Amino acid sequence: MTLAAYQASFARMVLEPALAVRARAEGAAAFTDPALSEAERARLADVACQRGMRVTCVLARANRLSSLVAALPATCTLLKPELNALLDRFWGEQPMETLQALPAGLAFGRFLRDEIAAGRVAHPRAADVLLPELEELAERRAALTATAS
Amino acid sequence: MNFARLKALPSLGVGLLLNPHTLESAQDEPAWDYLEIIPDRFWIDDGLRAAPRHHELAPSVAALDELAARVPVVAHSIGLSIGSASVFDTGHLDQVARWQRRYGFPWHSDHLAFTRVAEHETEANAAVTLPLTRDEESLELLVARIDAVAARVDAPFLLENNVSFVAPPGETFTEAGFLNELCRRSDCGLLLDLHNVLVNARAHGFRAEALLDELDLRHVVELHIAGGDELAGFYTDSHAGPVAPEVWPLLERTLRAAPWVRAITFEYHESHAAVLGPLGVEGELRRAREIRERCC
Repeated sequence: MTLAAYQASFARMVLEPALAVRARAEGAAAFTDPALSEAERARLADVACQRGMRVTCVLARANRLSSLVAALPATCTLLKPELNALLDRFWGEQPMETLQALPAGLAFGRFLRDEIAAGRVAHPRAADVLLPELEELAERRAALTATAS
Repeated sequence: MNFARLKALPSLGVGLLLNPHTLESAQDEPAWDYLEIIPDRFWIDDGLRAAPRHHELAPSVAALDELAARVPVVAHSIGLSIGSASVFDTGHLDQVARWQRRYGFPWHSDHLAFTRVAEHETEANAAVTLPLTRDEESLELLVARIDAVAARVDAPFLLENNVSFVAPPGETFTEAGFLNELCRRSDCGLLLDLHNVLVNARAHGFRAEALLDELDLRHVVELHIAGGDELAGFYTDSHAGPVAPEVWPLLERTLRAAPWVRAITFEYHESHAAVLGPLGVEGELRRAREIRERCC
């Protein structure tokens, strides 16, 4: 399963650019999965140092974000000043399995609802904007009773 | 690849990758000969453990049914992640197979990359198509996967050359050499994205023409043409606006050398629809058609 470990570390580095930054400082030692071979650790460290790693991370973040903005446009606009921090917390807790806007938006909306309830969202109108959008998403999801396979 | 099977495929002409803008602006006499769809965009997938798992988006499917009654449709999926060592989603393939039976796609395709990785009890999606290391281990994985795809979906299968801004070190094949060997060992054809070739050439400092010269173009069934723009110091495959000027000579060069190209698909992102406009889309399709008629 060493190829699987290599790919998981590669994907993790794209999803968490901090790992790529650490790999640039520490080299192969930044990759701690015991299933990785020495050659794979070296390969990952090399990739982390390449100039194209930054744009790869930027694209991954933009692609994930565009799904969420498509699902919750008003909420994402309202929370723009604190959105990056919220996204980091969300993606840290729940790795996105899908880029489909409806399920991804529902998951993010429910996360935001809990964050607002816990007092961890600064904008005073966050609930006013989020809850109607979240309710509409939930209704759309519930209406998907067409051909299921 | 079985060349006799490739030669027998229908010639579809010049087409368009369907996006929401196309659906809205579909005319009675469209400028495209066929449509390419991303089937994954027509359903919600609740994931590996869900039952039922796939929920079709009825309004979009109804619009597709209407279009598919008028023009041929081919499928270009994004969900398989064929290169993932830890994930091989036969449920996704079964859904593609159901759509294959429903719409009679002459072929179907996906991307030569990995995006999905298993993480403990769940899965993560990298949100970009990550590059496979071009070595023997990847080839063995892919050949077995292609066999499994063929066993489940009754139509020829194509893989699209990937875009990547990083290059894993220690590879034993060039990009063209890897594609040649993959097609030689498996029953898989190529969807050659000429804009991806251009993007990789710029990112990694090689000549796009050199890749085309090394590639065994007998495997190419379909071509993609598109445009892009700059991001974070790189020219990217964003499908922004019209076809990149450098792609047109690549199209001409490929068509003159590839014996069995059956389709040329123009891709643009719906966010650039206003820039292109209907006449802009038609213009790109017309230019592709003129080159095809001149070269084939």
